Amino acid sequence: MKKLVYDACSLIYLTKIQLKEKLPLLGTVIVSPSVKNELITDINSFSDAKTLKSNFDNKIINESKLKLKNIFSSEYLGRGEKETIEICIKSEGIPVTDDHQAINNALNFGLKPKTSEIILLDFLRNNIINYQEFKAFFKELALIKSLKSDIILFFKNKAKEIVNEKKKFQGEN
Amino acid sequence: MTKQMNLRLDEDLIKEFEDLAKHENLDRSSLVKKILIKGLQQERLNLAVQKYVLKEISIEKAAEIAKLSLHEFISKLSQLGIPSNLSLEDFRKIISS
Repeated sequence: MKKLVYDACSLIYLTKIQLKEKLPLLGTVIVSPSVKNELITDINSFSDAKTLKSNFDNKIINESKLKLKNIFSSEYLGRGEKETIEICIKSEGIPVTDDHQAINNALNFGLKPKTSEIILLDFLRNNIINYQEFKAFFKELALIKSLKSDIILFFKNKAKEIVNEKKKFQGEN
Repeated sequence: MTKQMNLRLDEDLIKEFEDLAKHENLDRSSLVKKILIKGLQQERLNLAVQKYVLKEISIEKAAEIAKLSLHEFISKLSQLGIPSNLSLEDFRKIISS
């Protein structure tokens, strides 16, 4: 089973588009202690925080028990993002983050990060959602993240490629 | 605990504070304090957003500078229509990694 280590912003975005419950279908959902704190702060002001808290209680999201030593000190990253990368280095996890700095730090450590857009493509690839659902979820995500048009087009094309590959595969069998 | 801070301001500006304080039924000092607190919060948010947009800091670090929870900061970015700081180049790098 793959270990997907999410940072707080990715989980917040995936909660907003109501896809978080499907995440365990791609691998174990892990977060660091600081990310857990960030997610459930503001529980009285944000309904997303409430939902996330119940996901911790129901073990849909798991807090990492690894001992963390703050192995790198980037002043450009938050504590949760640093911990996410550290957990991935120590436990061969896959970091999921929607931030430029965090992605580039992860890549520098030889990790293969994902973003919430890529998680959506993985859902499509693994038949967890169909193409119509992908389009609906992606539209919502693009709105929340105010995604630029070139990025929207890029992911629409990637989704079409996946659908075409699937059709080709089905045709061959 | 409070500390005293002396400021030298233009007469016109002091007059403006006095006029507004009258309208708001506040004393001058309370009004200045109120505006300073609001202004400081706004300045923190502006700096955090600017650094985030320029990709100098991460979203979590930006929320920390703005002294907001990540939920609040994401909500602010969305309200302001600030796009995610990931570029097409970033996605290409990720997919080819």
